[in-house]
Amino acid sequence: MTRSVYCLSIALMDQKLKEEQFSKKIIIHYTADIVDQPIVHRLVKDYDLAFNILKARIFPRREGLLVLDLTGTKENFDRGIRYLKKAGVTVEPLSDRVTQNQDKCVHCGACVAFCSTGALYIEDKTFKVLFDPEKCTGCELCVTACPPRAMEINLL
Amino acid sequence: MKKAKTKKTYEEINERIRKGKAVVVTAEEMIDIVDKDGIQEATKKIDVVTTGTFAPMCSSGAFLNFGHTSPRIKASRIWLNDVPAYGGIAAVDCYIGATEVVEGDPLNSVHPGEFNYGGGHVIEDLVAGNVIRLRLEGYGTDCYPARKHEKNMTIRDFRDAILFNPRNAYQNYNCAVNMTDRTIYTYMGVLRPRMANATYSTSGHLSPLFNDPYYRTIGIGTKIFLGGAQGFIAWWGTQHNPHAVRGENGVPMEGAGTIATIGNLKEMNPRWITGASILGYGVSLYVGIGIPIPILDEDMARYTAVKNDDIYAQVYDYGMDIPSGIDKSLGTVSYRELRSGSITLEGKKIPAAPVSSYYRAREIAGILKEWIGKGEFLLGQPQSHLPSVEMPR
Ligand code: SF4
Ligand code: SF4
Repeated sequence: MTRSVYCLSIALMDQKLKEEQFSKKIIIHYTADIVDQPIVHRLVKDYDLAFNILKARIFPRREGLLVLDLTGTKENFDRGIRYLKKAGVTVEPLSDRVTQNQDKCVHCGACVAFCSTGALYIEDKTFKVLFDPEKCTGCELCVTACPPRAMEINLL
Repeated sequence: MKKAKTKKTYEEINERIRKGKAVVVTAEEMIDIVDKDGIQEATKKIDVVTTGTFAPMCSSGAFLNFGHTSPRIKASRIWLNDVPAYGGIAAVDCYIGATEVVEGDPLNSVHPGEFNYGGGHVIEDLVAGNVIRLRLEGYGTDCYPARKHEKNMTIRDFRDAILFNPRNAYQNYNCAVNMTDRTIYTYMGVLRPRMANATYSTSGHLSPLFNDPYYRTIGIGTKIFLGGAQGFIAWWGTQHNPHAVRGENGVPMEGAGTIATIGNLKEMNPRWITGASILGYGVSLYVGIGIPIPILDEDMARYTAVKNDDIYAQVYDYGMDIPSGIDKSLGTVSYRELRSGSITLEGKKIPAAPVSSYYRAREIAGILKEWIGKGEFLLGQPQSHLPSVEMPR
């Protein structure tokens, strides 16, 4: 695409901006002593990251977990993650915590009906059911809706 | 000059199988062969077409004989891993049904129930060689004095373990949608409100009974792939209905034929006999079935070349209609549409997902093709036919 065409179209500029944005779903575990710190607030203010809370849980002893979808530039994202680690919370990609057990999956496709993110989908031609961890939001619906219990999620 | 039409007998085909000379293809491959070479050539060339299906099949279960105990017991109440089995057969025989739920399960008291364990899982555990806790109660007789007995067993310790499924491999099945305003949890999977998705079963043009719509070769005594072993068709299945509405190609456009299957559970493999927990519905059993179809003549070649474009299912509302016993079709869709991932109903595009595994169905058709090709599996000629209707000429 030539530069002049690109400049003419605001829609395409938006698209370009979006492309520069980096987005990743992370899972944060924090302990009771830092539950009062405004960590998410600082991610927004200091690192210019947009967030979407996919899941938040607080346990009886006030420790808890947060599943966040963070969006920003790659640089800010990396700085934000460094900040979180320094603040004393554990941070992991959500995708590490959700797996499709290949020994158990029968590739029936039932999950395609209920997984609303498209993370579980049928591959063309082979009709194998594949799992794209980057799309998964950790909603956990598949844990009980997959008939042979092939989806394994451990957020704790 | 008119060429003589090819005719083959079971004996001729079996002779070729024994010699390793039979030409065997899957139902998917047959479509292309007939497309390319035409019916006449394909009939001459191809001896057997293999089919397959892998889906949760309720109306499955196993007869088990657990052997006599000392002192003897006439077991009238039986549990396997706390799942009740039916004992009103004889002293030490029972039937464990696929849909029986483990005792004490909360069922749907918190809806949708999870149904984590039941008869289907017991059968899978047996096939996998896992230890099963057997618990027996009897009322005591002079010849069978014991009233209670418990022991751990694996499938090897059972005298006999016979898979006997009264209704499998439905020839066709409904496509399900939900027209209500709430999500529903059915044996056809999770259905979102206001027709937001559709689900369907059967492996379409790979599915056994679609490839022999009038049951000419699929009959009582037909040898099949069942759960990874060689099994048989024992009878027509319950609810078998040959009188369903059929398309011009003879293929039923709604639920029609079914088969009852039988085989030795001890020879089966958990890859093809797998327990299923269906959210909000209950327990079931995935069963893998493959049926070889001999190409006896041109009719059989034509039938086995059927493709998804020409196989149709009826769409039903599982929100209101089906639960109230109203069988009102909302429309007809082809398996080509279903397989494409979306259907169009009343002008609306609806994502469609299967509940039966096409991937595994294809694998079964492939295994059966290999067995027959190697001469390890001979065709079983039906000893009697399933009830059918006249083939239009
Ligand atoms: S529902 Fe479960 S078994 Fe079926 S395809 Fe999805 S992950 Fe695999
Ligand atoms: S957790 Fe939710 S989003 Fe992720 S695969 Fe399962 S159903 Fe899909």
